[in-house]
Amino acid sequence: MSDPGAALREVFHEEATRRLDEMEDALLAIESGGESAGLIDSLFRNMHTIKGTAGLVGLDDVAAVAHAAEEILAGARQAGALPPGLADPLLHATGVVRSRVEGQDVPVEDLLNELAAGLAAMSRPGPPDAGAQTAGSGTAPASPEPAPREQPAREPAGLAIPVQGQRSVRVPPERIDHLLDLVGEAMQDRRRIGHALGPEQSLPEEVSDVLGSAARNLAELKDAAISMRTMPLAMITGPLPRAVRDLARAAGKDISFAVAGADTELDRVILESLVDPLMHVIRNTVAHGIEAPAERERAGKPPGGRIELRAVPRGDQVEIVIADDGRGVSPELAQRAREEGSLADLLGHAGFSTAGAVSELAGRGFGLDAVRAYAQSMGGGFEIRSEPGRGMEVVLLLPLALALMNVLLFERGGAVFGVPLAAVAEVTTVPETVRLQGRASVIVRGRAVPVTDAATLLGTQAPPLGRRPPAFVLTVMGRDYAVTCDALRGEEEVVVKPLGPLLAGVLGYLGGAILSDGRVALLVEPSALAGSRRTSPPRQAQARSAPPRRVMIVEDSFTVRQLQRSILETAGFQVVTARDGSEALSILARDPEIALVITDLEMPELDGLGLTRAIRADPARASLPVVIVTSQGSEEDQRRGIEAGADAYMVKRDFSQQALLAAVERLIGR
Amino acid sequence: MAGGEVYAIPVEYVLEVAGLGDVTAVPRAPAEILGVRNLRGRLLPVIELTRLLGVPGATPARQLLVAEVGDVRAALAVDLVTDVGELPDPVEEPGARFLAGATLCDGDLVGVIDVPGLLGSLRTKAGRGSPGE
Repeated sequence: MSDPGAALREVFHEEATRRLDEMEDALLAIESGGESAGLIDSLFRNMHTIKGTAGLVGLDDVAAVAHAAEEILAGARQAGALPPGLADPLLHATGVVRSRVEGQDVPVEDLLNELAAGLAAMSRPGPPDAGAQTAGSGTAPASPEPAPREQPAREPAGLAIPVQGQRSVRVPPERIDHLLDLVGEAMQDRRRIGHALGPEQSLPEEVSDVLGSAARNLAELKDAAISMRTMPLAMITGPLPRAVRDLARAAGKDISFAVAGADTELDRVILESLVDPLMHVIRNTVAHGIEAPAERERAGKPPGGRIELRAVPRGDQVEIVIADDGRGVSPELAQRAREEGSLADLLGHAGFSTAGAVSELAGRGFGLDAVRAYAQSMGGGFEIRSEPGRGMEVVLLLPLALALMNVLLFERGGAVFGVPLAAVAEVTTVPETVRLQGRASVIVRGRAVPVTDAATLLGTQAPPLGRRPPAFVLTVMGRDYAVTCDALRGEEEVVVKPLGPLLAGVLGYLGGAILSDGRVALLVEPSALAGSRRTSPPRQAQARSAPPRRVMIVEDSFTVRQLQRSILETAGFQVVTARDGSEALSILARDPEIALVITDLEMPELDGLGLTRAIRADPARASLPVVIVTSQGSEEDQRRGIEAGADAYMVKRDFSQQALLAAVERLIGR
Repeated sequence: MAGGEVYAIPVEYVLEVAGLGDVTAVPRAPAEILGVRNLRGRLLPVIELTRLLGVPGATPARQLLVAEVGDVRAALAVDLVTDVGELPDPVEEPGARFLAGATLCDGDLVGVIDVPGLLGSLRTKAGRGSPGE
């Protein structure tokens, strides 16, 4: 693990490609008039990250180009607009960066001149458009081969370039979301009309015909709109075989990797966000799940291990399975899971793998809490199946479409709530409860299932329940929970609407929905309705012998995250990662063991300064050491970092393994 | 009017005025947020203005002022929207929470609400929870 170079370049390639795709989308959207501060912001962040990571993996020319482009974007960000003439040189830049990342030796001199001219034109007074125009025409003739230069540079953007006979159009994802939203609204309007008109048999034939055809057309329209948002899993699996090979080689293992169901379609937002959790599970599996060849042979297995990624459509959801034929969980852990609930419950808990009883699995469960939280935040589910010695399966159940969801509606205390139908095992009534190990349970098909009043779980005021309250049984992480309520209203397909930034911090909601009668139902994450555990978790009681110090890395670039992770893990630290400041804060709130935070400055959502300030403002963590690592090296930036309360400030360009470790050790020791 | 007192809100932040309508309570939300309301297919958080301003709210709110700052859109619950007009420049009112200043209008002391500050504080409050648990 001491030289993660090759694997890093591979992940950099993957990450840079993704960011370049995003940037080209944004630039084209700006070019076609869809300009907005948000697009420029994301362009700036993407370019900034490419600059930082390119420097780290030694692609200095790419870093130089990214730097020049970033300057333009910084100006545009300040001005709130990108002069139209500058989209072109920036597209040229993404093209050249892409070629360089692909390993082609494209010259960058002309491009650097072009970008410098663009920047100069920008700072000149007068209409920015005219300025940029001059810049373009000023540099183009100076180039030895002006015409063909642009074409090959843009070609790799692929996908949506109009081809003869097969034309395609680029559409910003928000427009598709809007379309889907409207389709959902129209479907509900149709249902409302149906309700208002009364029973179908009593309607004139002409009216019921129109209603029927409207329903069919809308259903088809919905499928068409959803299909615009979905893409095959293959979109993200391309680099995985290579990544597994490199990881396996570095670990001295022989592992084959296969993908099944690569053509399974998933929501594009889900696909994009799935890359990180997927890599996380795969890395865990390579490092800890699959045994070394000699150990495998002793166990009577073939020396080479196997990892399979499977995607299986399951109605409204898609099951993503990462299966391996490695050592699986220990017999003790399997036993404990049988006694206490499920493996997902045990392993999907923050910091699980430090528990003494499973030290042979050190690292195996680590970070699965983040994977679990990810699945839940998407309104999906998480499961782990394992047989000791035979392997393990990590299962993510993800919704097919984020915007539309089938929910079970129930009432409690006069309000209506919805829970994803996919998590509902069955509905029933509760004739009587029994006490089992000190907690109310109900017998469902011969099994005792813990039962809780929805009002208690939701934290809402409500009069006591009736004598035989209706109930539904939820399956959350492989365990069943019964929830009682006033009434069940049945299932409905709803449009999931965000509750907005002011309510984003309130836990447990997927959003809200407007029902066919106009009322609002809050949509609740299934995990928020899973009652408390039967027994208190025994892991608190287990003594820890000198646990390794835990450090959190907050960084939106996957490459940098992995680099820092491998440096720190090699030095014996335990590492937790977060992709931005707000994720970092939520992890900090759950995990009191984190002894130090290393954060980037530029990040989406909450940035490094904001994170540092939030940590300093929280009395419980005010003294937690914070190290800022960034590519911004100006004194002004450094001053802002220190003022926000950072303990150390490191610039990526003079970043080294020794310097990072020295800073960390100075702050928290070993 | 909020809690019987007269306040003003700069029109640049106001999108529209609406009736209070059905507000759905959101369990575990901050106390200042009464709930969410469906306004033409969009869910808006409804904010109890009297509570934020520290006014003892004697009369229940009847109307909503829909305000927007950046990406935050919210409905402020008020007694009644009485008038739209120009006010003399407000004088600073140091120490008053969420007031950009105060001014005299027809003999009434009118507090001018600091909308960005008010919505911003609610946002910070929301962010301090642990999202995505």
